[in-house]
Amino acid sequence: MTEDRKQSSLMDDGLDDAELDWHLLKSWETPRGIWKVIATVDHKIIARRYIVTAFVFLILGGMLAVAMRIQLARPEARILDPDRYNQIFTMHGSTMMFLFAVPVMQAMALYLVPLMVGTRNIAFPRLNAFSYWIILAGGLLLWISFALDAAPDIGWFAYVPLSGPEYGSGKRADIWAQMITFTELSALAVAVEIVVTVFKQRAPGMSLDRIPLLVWSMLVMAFIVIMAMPAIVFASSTLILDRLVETQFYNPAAGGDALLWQHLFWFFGHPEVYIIFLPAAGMVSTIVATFSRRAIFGYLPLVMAFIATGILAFGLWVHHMFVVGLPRLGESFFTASSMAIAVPAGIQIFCWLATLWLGRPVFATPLLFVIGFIVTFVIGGLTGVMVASVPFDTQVHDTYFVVAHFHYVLVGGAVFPLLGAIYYWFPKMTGRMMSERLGRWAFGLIFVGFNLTFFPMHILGLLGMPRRVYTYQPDLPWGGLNLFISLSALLLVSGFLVFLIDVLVAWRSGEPAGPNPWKAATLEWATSSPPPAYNFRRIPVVDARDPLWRYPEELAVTAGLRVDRRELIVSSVVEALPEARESSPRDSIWPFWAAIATSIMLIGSIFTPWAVVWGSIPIAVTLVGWFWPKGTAEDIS
Amino acid sequence: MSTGIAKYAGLLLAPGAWAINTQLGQILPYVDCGAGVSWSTVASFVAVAVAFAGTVVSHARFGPSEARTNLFVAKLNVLAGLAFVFALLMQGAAAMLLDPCLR
Repeated sequence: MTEDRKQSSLMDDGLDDAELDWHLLKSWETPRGIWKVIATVDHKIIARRYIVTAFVFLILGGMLAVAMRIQLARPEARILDPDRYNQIFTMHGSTMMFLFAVPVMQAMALYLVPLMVGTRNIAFPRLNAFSYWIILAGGLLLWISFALDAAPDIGWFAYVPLSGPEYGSGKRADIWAQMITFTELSALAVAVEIVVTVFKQRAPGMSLDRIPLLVWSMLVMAFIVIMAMPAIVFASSTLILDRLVETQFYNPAAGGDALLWQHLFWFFGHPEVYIIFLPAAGMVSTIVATFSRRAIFGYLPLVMAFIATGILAFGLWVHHMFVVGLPRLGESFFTASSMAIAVPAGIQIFCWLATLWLGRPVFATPLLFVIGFIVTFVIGGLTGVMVASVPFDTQVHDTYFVVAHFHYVLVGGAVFPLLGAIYYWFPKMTGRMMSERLGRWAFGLIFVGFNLTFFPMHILGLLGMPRRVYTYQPDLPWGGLNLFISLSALLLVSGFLVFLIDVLVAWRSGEPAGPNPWKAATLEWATSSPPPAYNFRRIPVVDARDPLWRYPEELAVTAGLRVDRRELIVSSVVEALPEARESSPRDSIWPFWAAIATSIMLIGSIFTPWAVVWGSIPIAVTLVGWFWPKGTAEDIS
Repeated sequence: MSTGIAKYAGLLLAPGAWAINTQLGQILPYVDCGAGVSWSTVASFVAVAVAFAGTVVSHARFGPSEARTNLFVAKLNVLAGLAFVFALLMQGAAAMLLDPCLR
């Protein structure tokens, strides 16, 4: 930096609060206007878009579930034909896993991690904007294909040869595989952003042993994404190659291997469960501590449990393949790991229970959802230990027992904590409180409705009902339970309706929240609700794990950052010692154009391999525009 | 092992040993079935030893003079190492109990 530039820089140390706010707002605010809004790189705005989009997909996926339950309520129903039913269960699984669960958890990280580590924006904010437009395009691709009666009909794990060129006619499997590519791109981008933000942008003093547990959980989740996604990148790409240019990766007759698909898919697919669960575990840890009014019990074992879970997640995938004929001894190694992962899971549960036991719990709505999570997830965990056993799994494989198990794990392990987290952080995101009365109704209806819907599915599975059948004969002993399940699903749906009404009413006219309505301990509550574009007037200095409990009146803060450009502190990985001042990129429309160009290339490559060649040119042009220096103060690092 | 890396031994060696043994579990049963020797068992308990060694190395970093953050990292590594020792012991038990020729 030249001496002239130094002299012309406006620093934050000589300014009073009002002047500082004015300058920071000028540097960081997203201007009004449609193109400005599209160009924004504010992590909070993008995260809110992600969350709203993911909940729209949750509603759409939920409507498909209702359609399936109406069809299955009585034997030999003719409401849905088999082809449409196949599309619906594929759409339901794919939407919930790829367009709701993973994006919404990453979105919570996008919103909360920069605030919790005390920085002004996520790392690589333009990549963040790109990731949102990409996943939106992937979701639109899938749902437009459904509207055109051309949706995938191959199940959410798209086993070959069903999805291969031999049996998967038309473009349905290609649309599924390319939708996966969109979600992979988005998830990988967000994961990289989270890792760099946590490692290099923490507030001074936030050493590794002072990082909030939610941030730890998001960090481990991001590493799992980075390790797991390449497997599905390879799988979906090679599936398209098999279908489009007649490679033979999955064709045994030509030297390929159908089981390769299952290995690749589940090497990603099982860690996917923990990509969804670990953020939820971080949310639970945060909510339990706040509403127990004490520091979390067992911070160190919890961090260890997150990390151990994240690694062990990669040694479980074969337990989805126990019936394919692998050596029994090899399978048993995966049984061993599946049992061993119960140890870190158990440690987490006991730490949360101990925190509640030793604290003075306040049973507000977020904590109710956490308690619902503990009950539901423990049941899902117990049936998980059951299906980790090869002989038992062989009996219930592809039955409703497995459907019940994974809904207990995924809804219990992720959706309950997520709803609790929405109640908990909604005041921070919007500045308004949600209704406690409606929240209790929502919790009661969802908890009772969920258990009445999914617990009987265990029994249906033990009675031999296979998953993915569009109907069944009246003389089979499944009719009564199916009717009961379908009626119970209405209760579950009504709970979600109450939740959505609560969100909409609170967003419009909820009580003002104030900066810290729950009297919580972590840094996101040290700023206003909703936070300003620059997050913190001055970057806090941290010397405790629960900074707002240690210093409830005023936090120590740093000085010396420029305010005439977007600038933040880069700190060391272990001790979070300040190392440098780094510029943070300004808003840019180019990530949007890059996402459009990428989408055109990806969708075009469903139809012709030449789309990859010609489609790369506009992508290259948009990337040049993205990185071309614009002559702003942020161009100088 | 340099003292800087030593505190990470539990989190490097134990999961590494577990990952390798998990892969060997897909390969060695074919060898064991033909050879009549349980290399899977041998590999599992070698992996247990490696994982435990990593845990012990991290544990050796405990000490009153150690910086707070270093101590945190060392403790984290010891706990994680023990989790993987447990997982490997389960794999070793499976290798001892099951016939490698079973399909």
